[in-house]
Amino acid sequence: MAYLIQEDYVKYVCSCGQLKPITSLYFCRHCLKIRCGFCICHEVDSHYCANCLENMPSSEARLKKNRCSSCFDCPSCFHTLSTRAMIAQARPSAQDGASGDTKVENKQPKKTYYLSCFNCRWTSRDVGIPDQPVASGGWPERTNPFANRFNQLLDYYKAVAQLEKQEKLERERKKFAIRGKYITLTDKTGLTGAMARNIAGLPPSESGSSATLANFTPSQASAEVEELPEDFYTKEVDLKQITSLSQRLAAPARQPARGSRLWPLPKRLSVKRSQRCRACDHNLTKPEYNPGSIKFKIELLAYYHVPEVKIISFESVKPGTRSELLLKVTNPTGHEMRLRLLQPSDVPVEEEQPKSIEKSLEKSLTLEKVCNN
Amino acid sequence: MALYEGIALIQEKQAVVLDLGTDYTKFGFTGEAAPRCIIRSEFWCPSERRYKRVHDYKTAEELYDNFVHMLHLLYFRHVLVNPKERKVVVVESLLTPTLFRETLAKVLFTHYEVSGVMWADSPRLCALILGTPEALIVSIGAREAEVTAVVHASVVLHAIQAQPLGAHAIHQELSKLLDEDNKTELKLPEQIIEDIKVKTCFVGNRERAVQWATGNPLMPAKSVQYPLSGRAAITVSGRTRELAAEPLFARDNELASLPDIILQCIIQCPIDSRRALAQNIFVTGGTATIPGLKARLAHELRYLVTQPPYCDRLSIREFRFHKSGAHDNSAAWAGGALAGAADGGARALARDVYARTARLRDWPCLLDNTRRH
Ligand SMILES: [Zn+2]
Ligand SMILES: [Zn+2]
Ligand SMILES: [Zn+2]
Ligand SMILES: [Zn+2]
Repeated sequence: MAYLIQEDYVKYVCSCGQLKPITSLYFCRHCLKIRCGFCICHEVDSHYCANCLENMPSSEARLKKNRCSSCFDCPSCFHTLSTRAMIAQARPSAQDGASGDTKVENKQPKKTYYLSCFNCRWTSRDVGIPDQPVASGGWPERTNPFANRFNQLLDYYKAVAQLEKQEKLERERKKFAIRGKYITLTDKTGLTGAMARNIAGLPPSESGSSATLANFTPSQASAEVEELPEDFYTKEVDLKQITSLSQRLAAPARQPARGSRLWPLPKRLSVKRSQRCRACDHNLTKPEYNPGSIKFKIELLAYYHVPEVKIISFESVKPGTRSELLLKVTNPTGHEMRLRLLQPSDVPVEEEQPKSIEKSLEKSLTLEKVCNN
Repeated sequence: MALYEGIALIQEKQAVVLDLGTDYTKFGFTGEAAPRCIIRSEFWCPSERRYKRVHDYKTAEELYDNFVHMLHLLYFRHVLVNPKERKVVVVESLLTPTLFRETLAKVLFTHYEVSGVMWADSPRLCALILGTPEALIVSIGAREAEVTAVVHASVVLHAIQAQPLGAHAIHQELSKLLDEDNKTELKLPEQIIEDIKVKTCFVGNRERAVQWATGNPLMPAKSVQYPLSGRAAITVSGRTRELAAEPLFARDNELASLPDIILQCIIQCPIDSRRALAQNIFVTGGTATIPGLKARLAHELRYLVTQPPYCDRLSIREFRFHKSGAHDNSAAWAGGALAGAADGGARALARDVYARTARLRDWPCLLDNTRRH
């Protein structure tokens, strides 16, 4: 029997050899074997936001880096931020001087929105984010300070890899040319494509990549190292203004060290997973698409197929005497079921699963080979 | 041909980059400037009802389970993609235990069925984000500080230096100093110690360190009252704030302090590359973020090189330092993201190759480091 908070007293042997409570076991109808979370294949089924319960197609989720565009987490305590509306107060002193038309505009109270955390009272105003005229979206984003340099490097190394590939091809072509067995079109003319372009006075076809190669500047080392500011030795430390490590790491791209640089964190999406039997590739569970639903389209839980064993009472075991153990076995199916109690010595040794993982690997490899051929 | 390549590019799924550090794991996609998540290398273990660190293991089986759980967390909670048929770039130290990397390979290939794994060592990846031909990578991580010379994309293997001078050494010293400050044994959990370090500690300059050592200090920095939940606030004195990171610079007869091992690494490198290495020092790793550490390291190097035994053996007097093109804690990861994206994973160890040989190339292994005739 499985308990919510107590230890699991009755454990079942999964076909992979692991001992698990019945609540974390599956039963593959096609292999007629018990499976557990360890020996099945997990797959991402759909992306959704756990806050607004909005589904997101996986292509869009990839583009948005698995972040919801309308929900935010508090950068300070990671609680969900809520959007709060404010009727903008007409500020006569500032606007009167600005223009005469303001009085007309002021007649309609303008609503503005800001983000606020109910848990720790952090608001988007704390860090100077201007209030937004619309409730959803439009919040300014902060970017990675190193993104530009990274993209330069990426272009450079892509060009290097391209060049390497070309050189390799060239070498191979030469190898074949020496053998004289294979004659390609360029061999006949004695020209490579690049040489032909060169002779014709055309710019080399991969001008983009060679320009990247030429323009690349490696990082410049300097003798100056950023010194510790002198006021570090005299300044009071305001712990509230320094972010904790978890606050920094919640935004891996920026890692703000000061509280004033915290920025709302777009909420990370969650996924619904479907689970598959490794041996036969059939689905064991498949959730419903609707994020609000916790039901499954396919749900082959062991609980529905495998008799549940409960310990009703037991006596402590003493040497040389009989002890009583009262078990209750429930048949969850509507069909008759035969039950056999075995001596420990009669339990068949199963050595199926470790091999079957390798088998599935082999199987997928042969599949791969078939595909390649 | 270009057409086929285009199709291949569309079909090739964006690879993921995994940097499984002792304390923090960096995980994200190739071609992106920052990891998607930086989380503690631990997972909730339901059977033991506690968070379990990936690096806490006694047997290969336990490590296998740890990896399965950790990768599940990373794939399905953080980057939200299917591990199957997707390449992985593994960022590893050159000193990663064989058991660790082989178990990781087994989990990735057989349990998660990834299509290929590119094994990349962090020093060369760090050199990649600099783009210079020579680089001296000083990586200060959780457990160890590693000094590695990279010359023209090759690691000078015999010159690698590593000492247990990482975050854990600082935490130990900090907790000792805090006990002295508060005159009790505080027994603070590791996470609080880390938080105190992040928020209050810094590395003072050389002159101050010398004065602390001689026992007649200048004005210590301001002390901080650090609040604890459910307990009285504790005092973090200015002395503690300044001296917590001192073990990294503590010299004894072993000459095993951080600046010492940097100089020793340079001495053991080929003579024609030493000057270039000293002028291309790159200090990285999460622990390098402590304010003032890099400046202090520079001062110590410039001083030590004029002292015996180095003054006779090194004629270098100039040291230059690189400013990082990525956040300190994810520099090696960013290198992995570059390397994986540049050649589209062409260097990855494919699954079918692994299935045939079931072994990894490794530099200490004679099979891989002897020349074939
Ligand atoms: Zn199982
Ligand atoms: Zn949402
Ligand atoms: Zn909050
Ligand atoms: Zn099955």
